[in-house]
Amino acid sequence: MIRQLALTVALSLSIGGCASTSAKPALDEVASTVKSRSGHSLRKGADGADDKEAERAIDGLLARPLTADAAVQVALLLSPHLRAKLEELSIARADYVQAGLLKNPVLGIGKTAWDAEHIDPNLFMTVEQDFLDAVTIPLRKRVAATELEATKLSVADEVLALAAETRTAFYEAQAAEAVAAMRALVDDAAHTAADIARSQHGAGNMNDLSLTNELGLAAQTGLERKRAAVASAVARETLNKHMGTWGKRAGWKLAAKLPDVPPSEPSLERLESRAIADRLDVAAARRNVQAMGYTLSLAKTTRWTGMVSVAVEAGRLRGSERISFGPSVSLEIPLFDQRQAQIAKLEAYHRRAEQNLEALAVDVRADVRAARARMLASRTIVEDYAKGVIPLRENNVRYSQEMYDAMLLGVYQLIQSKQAEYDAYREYIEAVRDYWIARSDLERAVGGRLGTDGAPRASTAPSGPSTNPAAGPSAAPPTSSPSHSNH
Amino acid sequence: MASLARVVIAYLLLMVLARSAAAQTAPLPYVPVVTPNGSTLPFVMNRGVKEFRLTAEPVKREFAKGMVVNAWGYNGSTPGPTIEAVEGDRVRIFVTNKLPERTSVHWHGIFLPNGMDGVAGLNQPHIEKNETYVYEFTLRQNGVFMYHPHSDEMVQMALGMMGFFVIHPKVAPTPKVDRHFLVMLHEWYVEPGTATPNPNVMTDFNLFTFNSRVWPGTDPWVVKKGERVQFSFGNLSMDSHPIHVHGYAFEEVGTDGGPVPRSARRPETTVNVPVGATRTVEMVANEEGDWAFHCHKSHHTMNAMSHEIPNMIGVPQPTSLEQKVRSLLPGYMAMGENGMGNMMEMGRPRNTLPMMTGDGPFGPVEMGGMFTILKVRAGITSYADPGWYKHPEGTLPRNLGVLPSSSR
Repeated sequence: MIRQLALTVALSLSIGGCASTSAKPALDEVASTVKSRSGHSLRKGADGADDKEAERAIDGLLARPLTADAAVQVALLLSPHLRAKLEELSIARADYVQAGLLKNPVLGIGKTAWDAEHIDPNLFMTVEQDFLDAVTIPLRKRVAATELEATKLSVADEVLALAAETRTAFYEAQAAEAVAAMRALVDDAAHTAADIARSQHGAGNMNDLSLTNELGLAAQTGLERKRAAVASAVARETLNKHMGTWGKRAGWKLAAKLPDVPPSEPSLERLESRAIADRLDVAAARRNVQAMGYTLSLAKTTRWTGMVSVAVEAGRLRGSERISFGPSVSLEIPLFDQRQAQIAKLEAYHRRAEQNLEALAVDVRADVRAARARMLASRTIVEDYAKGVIPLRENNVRYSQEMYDAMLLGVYQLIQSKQAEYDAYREYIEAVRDYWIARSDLERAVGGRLGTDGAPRASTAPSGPSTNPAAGPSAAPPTSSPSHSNH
Repeated sequence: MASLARVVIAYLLLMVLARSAAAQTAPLPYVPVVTPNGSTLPFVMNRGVKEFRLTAEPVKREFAKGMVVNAWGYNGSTPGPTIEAVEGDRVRIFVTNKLPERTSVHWHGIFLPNGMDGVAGLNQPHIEKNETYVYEFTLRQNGVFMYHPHSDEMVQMALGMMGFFVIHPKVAPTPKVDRHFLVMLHEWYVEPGTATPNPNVMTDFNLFTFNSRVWPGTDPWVVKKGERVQFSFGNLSMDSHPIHVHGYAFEEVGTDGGPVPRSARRPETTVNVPVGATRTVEMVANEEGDWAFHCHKSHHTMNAMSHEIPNMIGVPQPTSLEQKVRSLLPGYMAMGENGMGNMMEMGRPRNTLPMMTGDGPFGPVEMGGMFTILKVRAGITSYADPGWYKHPEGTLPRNLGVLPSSSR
């Protein structure tokens, strides 16, 4: 009996082990996933540790004119939103360690209510240990390990989501600043025209009505200029929010020009299957289904055993003056509750997880198609501006200048044609911005960067129709998902 | 090969010219008229009838160097060639229509049988595309008349279809007229930067022509000192044109109604040529020089200009303001503050002439449109352009420079 007890304790200790609560390995894994997906780094210091290297990198990035990639890198190193999200890794790690711990034994000391004839003094002591606990630890650990995997995937996905949002905020801010500059140029032109009109009016060559028209135009462009300036300031702050910058660190300057639309797109074939294979939230949802499956089988395993606890009672015998032990076992008899309700509930949870996975897959596929369509449409719009609208506007200015030089056109019309050119530049900037945002959305939907040349990672999946939207390519398991994926 | 082709063409041309010359070897019983920048239509005698051939067709007309207009005209030109005959002649005129639409020819001012009058629909059917009609009548009067379409005439005249029809008197007038110039007055609207006249414009024309040419594309009118000269002006535009001569006075001696009785003539320096009429004036060119001869409506001596541009006369445009515009438009120059003369020649649209231009011996003439030079010279042996007039000593104004205010 004693031997049996010792064995049990030893077994429990070995199972429970002294697993580390450090989330560093999980963090490193997430960091390497993020690196491979977006090319950006996370902080090395886990658990809120100070990371001098990261601080230096942030300051270095903010000292130069900011690009989209730099803004994303700053956000990944600095954003408190992101760091709060990373703490979920520690939480999940702690849950995993908890799952491997035995319940502590319960010590009881009591005094008999009557003078027992065989013990003296009439004190006794019991030690009780939940025995089933020791048996189910491996099962519980399997559930917790799977949940930890799911957390890693979903945290990495959240990081990529933040990167995408930061990228969008960056393009918004950059375009807003350029738009404000164009509005300022239009306004300057209008005020110049107004100055000439005042001079013409003062000389007695322009009536009040025409002067009012010119001044009115300048007043309007002034308002547009102010609106554009505040929109630019607000867009800047949105980017600050995403990067987590404030105070001195909010003094960054934007790279002046939006990047040009790349001359060609990588192959946009099989993006849907690539997304199903690569997206981390899809992988996390798969893990959740798996974890629910393990939880269900744990419940089914312990269905008839219920609660088993082993106890040892000790007391000193009157006659022999030695301590005697009395083992006892208490068993839960599943007379009324055979876990049928709990199991039904867990089965429903399991099915729900499966349906959530399917819903996510359907959404992802639609998002990929929508973002792809938006990106391609934005590209043609940008090209229409670059090859059509802008050259036409520039020619319009050139010919207006010719007409002005031949005294066939007035200075006001000449200035108006220049204003129209600035307005076309503004619309072009907005079109380029829309392209980059659509491209960023497509990368987010696919689950990785598209690159500007060559195809994205080729998928060997057959591209035939599939009845299961979550069925990814068979031969390309995502790198971050464990090898014993049930897909 | 090409040179051979040129020789062959030249030979054929000579043959044609020789033949037409052969048709007219007999000395003409009149002094032929001169149509500056134009021509006279040759005729062929066919059993006592003078036969003329007119082809109505689209033509390219250079208004002055650097501007070609998509016009319509006759026999490759606008105005069409001048028809010249004598009172009493029987004329037969073949009219072939090569226009993109139907047409007809009205013989403006000429007495003829009603059916020959050329009003399409009223006196005859329209001459459809590619058809040829023959008009035939006997000339019963003398004077300077015109011909022009009377079928979609608003469009066809706006595009330049018109010409002179001169009928000399049977007996040459005395004193003898040595030179007789024919000048068709017309107005056009050609949007700057385009080439096709807009027939929808009714009042706001931007080009004004002597024989479908504008200054500096108008040939000078060269006369030998002492010659008796007539000028006939025809007007089928929508404005009257007061044509003014410098250095002379002339008398109005005829209209498209016929000769003016001597008792009704009076000296003038300007003849107002009404719409739909001809006016013939006469003078003796006895004062040498380069004399301006032009329409006195000042906008009619301009080439294309805008009538809508802001009025900048006297509007101060300080350098700072000019710089402000230049920061937007690097090529900008403030203009018009001190008038429009002395303008630098800057850019202008394609196929568009400067508003005012042309150089004389003393600098820019700053003219355009209905402007040319009557060049009177003693002792010339040809009517080729004799160059600029050389003023005798003491016949030019002297520049006294900037005078001190006390001496004013």
